[in-house]
This record gives sequence, C-alpha cells and structure tokens, in this order.
Amino acid sequence: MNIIEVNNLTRRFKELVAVQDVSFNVAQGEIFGFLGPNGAGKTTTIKMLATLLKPTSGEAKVAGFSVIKDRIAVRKSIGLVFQESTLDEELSAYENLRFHAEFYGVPSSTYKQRSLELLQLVDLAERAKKKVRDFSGGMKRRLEIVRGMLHYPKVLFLDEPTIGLDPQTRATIWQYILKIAKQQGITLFLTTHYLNEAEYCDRIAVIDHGKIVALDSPDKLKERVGGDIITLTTDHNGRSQEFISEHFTKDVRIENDQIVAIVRDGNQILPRLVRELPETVKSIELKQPSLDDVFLKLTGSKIRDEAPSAAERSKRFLRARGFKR
Amino acid sequence: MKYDFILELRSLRNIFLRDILHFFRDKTRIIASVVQPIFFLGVFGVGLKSALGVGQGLGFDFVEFMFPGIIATTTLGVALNTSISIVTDREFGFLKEILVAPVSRASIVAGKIFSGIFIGLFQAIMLIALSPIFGLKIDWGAIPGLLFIALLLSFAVTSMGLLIASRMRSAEGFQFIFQFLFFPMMFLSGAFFPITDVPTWMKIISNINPLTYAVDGLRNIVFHGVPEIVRNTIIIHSLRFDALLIVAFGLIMFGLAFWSFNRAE
Repeated sequence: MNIIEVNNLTRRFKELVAVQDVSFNVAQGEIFGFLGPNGAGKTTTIKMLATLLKPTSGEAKVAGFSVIKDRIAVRKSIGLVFQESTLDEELSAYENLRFHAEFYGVPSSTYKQRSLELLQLVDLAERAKKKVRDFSGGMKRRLEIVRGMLHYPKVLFLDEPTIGLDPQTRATIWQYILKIAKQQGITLFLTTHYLNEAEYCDRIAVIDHGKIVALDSPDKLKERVGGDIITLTTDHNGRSQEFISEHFTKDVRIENDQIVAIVRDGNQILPRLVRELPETVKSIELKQPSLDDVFLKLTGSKIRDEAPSAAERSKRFLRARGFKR
Repeated sequence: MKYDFILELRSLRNIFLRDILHFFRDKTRIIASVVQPIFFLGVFGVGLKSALGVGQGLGFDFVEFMFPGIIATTTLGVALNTSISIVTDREFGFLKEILVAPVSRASIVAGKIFSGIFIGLFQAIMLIALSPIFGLKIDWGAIPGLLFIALLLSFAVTSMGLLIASRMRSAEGFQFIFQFLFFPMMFLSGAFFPITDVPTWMKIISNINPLTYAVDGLRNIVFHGVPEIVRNTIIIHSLRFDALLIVAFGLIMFGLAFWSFNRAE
C-alpha cells in the first residue's frame, strides 16, 4: 500500500522552478530518501507534502488525504522534523512533548506513557524534567525526532535530520532513527545531502535541479555504475586480463600495475576468480561503488559534501553496530 | 478544511498555558510587575503631586487622578510585551511547531490574546493591591469595573501587538515599534495631564488613541462618587462609550491580526 502518492507535482517561485513535474510513490513502512545537493528542491517537496506550501500544479496524497484539499487530515497523519530546531528551550523535554500532544489531540492518558516510552527509546528519560536549553545539539535532535512521532503519525518527515551535527553525533542520530523505524513500524521520508546517509534508505530518489533523475534502492542505483569493482594483482597481469575478459567481463583494464574489473555480483565472482584464474593471485580487493559514483554518473557532477571523511567514519561506526543489513 | 472543535479549544488552551508558564518562570517579569507600579505610583504620582499641586482645592487627589492612567499604561506595556512572544517564538523556531499543527490560525491568535488578557489583568491586580501603600483609597465596589476596563484594554492592545508581530522577523524590530507606539500612546491619552486644553493636533491624536478611552473609562469608575462639577473637568465620555470604543478597536485589531496571520507563511 502506498502511503505517499505524488503525481506531477510542480512548484514555481516566480521564474524559478523549484520542483518540476515530480512523481513517485512511497510504500508503507519504507525508509524513503530524497538525495540531492542544497537547493535541488528537497525541502520544497517536503513542504508541499506537509501542506506548508501549495503546489503550483500537480497533486499529492499522504495517508490517503489530498495535500491540497484535506490539509488538516494530512497534518494529523504526519510528523515533521525540520532542519532547524523548533523546540521550546525554556521548557523541559517532557513539557515539550506534552504541549505537542495537546496540539495533536493525543489523550492525556496515552501521552504520559508514550512520552516516557519515546524518551527511553532515545535515552533521554533521565533528562525528562530538565530544561531543553541545557541540552547538547544531539540531544535536542533526538528529542525533536521523538516529538515528531508522539502522536502516532503514519509518516515521519525528516528534513536533513543530521545537518549541523558532528560526525559522531550524526552516527548516533542515525542509530536512533533506524531503531525507531524498526520498532514503531513508521514510514520515514527524509532528505539528505550526505551520500553515505542515503544508504540507510530502502529507496532513494536522486533529485537535481527540481527533477528526479533516478529512483531505486541504493544497491540498484549502484548497479547502474555497472557493478562491483574488483582490483587485483597477479604474477602476470597481462595474461590475467585476457583471461578475465574471456571468462568474466569485458569491462577490464590495467591501471597503475593493477587489474581493475567491473563485474556484476562481485561477491560471487571473487572466489570463482581466485579459483579459476591460471595465474597466482598476489592481492585482491572487492569494492562496491559508492553513491558518489552513482551521483556523478547520473548528474555529471559531484554532490557537495561537507565532510566526506567524517561521513565515511560515521557510516563505518553504524555498520560496526550492525544497523546496516 | 475541516477543523476539530475540541482540538481547537485544546490548542487554544495550550498556547495560553505555555505563555503563562513562561511568564511565571521569568523572574524578571514577575519582579518588574511589582516594581513598575511602585515606580509609577510612588515616584511619578507622589513626586509630581508635590511638584505640581494639581487637584488641590478641587476635591480630588493627584495620585488619584494619575491612578487610572497608570493602570492603563502598565496594562498597555505588558499586553504589548505578551504579543512579542510570537516574534521570539519565530526567532527560536517554536512558532513552526505551532503553525504545522492541525490547528486553525484563529485558535492560535485567540490563545495569544487570552494570555495577553491574563497577564494584563495580573498587572492591574498588582497595581490595585499595592495602591493603599501610596495613600489611595479604592472602593471594593470599584475593583470589578477597573478590572473590566483593564480586560478590554488588554484584549485590544494584545490584538494590536499580534497584528504587528505577524509581520515582524526580529524581537529588536518589535522593540523599536514598541517604543514608537508606547510613548505617544501613553502621553497623548490624558494619563498624566488632561487633554482638554491642548492644541488641536494633539486632540486629534488623542481621540484616535485607544488608551484615551481606557484612561477615561477607568476615571469614570475611580471618580464615581465625586460631584458632577469636578467630574466634568477630568472626564470626557460616558463609561459605556469608552468601553464600546475599546471593544470596537480591539475587534478591528483582532480581525486584522487574524487576517495577517492567515496570509503570512
């Protein structure tokens, strides 16, 4: 079942076309990512889906309600986490949740239990009564994320959920996001311009200049690069290259005294290659193409990433903790 | 769009309660609400009385003459200050949390007006409670009337403040407008000197100043038992006329504030 249905959605700001003829569906329970550089139209799309901005043309449905005609119903079925903080810093964490519950009509018998549960989920239960002003950036973010889902929304929109946070904190935030998605069975719609973060999504829409240039799972998108990259050195690179070309893939070349072969299903090819290759293998490495490679291939330009090395670190951190399938 | 009536009321109460919570947690505002009356009544009232000697031989006291003006101006101040919370909420992001909620703008504006009224009334009660220290004798029977006018004024001024706040991006900008409005409104309302023998331009401004009617209305109540001849020198309109004008001004401002919020964002 599709929880979000978008048909030919367009938004213009005078001459500028921020979002152009965008169509896609998001299935219930999915983690759906919008990936693109700053100014690509990600936030504009979220704003239209959250009824904060009227589309110039086209139509979208969230949880079965039209974002144009049924705005209140849409608002009740979604949670929103903005790029910038929208917490009341003079209030405690619990008070922030309580006021949110009131705005969304969550009965007081429910929200007390629910607040506690959610605060525990993001390890903030001990700080429930503390003023938000004294919270760290990461703690505020965690609180905002759980506040966004306090009223049992069907979809939680996260606009750049980790922007402005240090890599360590970003990794932790992701850890919580994935935990929430798993435990609460909620659909997540998020935007990011961090390529490594997009990999946590079930599906990604790559957006550039207001248009969707590709939409697929991270793995499928990576396949568009042509497959996995195997780099190896052997006793005789020239003969090996010929052998690989004949038996495995035509896409093979020698680069810096190494054989570089692009293959499908590298995981299965690698052991076969070692077994069948007549030459002795001295070293071999299998690398999957990154979304950087995908974005470059799809748009012809590199996405601007603020801290690629740091991003890489956070990804590894999460992998190590077993959050990536 | 279909709104949920119960949810609207809950949200209205929510916005109100949050402002009150902020107010009572802010120690400086609580202290100011006590210090301000002391300053106005003690320093301004008592000091000016001995310097000018207004009211001597006329059958009323200068502090008594000033008292309605002081209630009106302090109420104006706190009510305007309450509407500034919209601007600070915008600056700190919380306004977004309110604006994305499944709630109509009318409930948001109404909630803010209730908090303006509450804080305005709180201030008026403080003033009345502290007035005996300065030798003022206010009839118990006059208190409901005084609070009623203070309530109407708080409603009108908070609405006006919200109209301004709906278009303001920074608290500094609002403070500027605040000064720009507060002082002319205060001085040209008859709060501190009668506006009977002043140049025509001053009279015109004071006639369109809602505070004039609040001051006049409050004086109507304070000088209830005073002889007609004395009353005529300090009171311009009837109490009913004063109340009606404040309400009319308030309703126009409320309408404009609501309209302005609906258009913005």
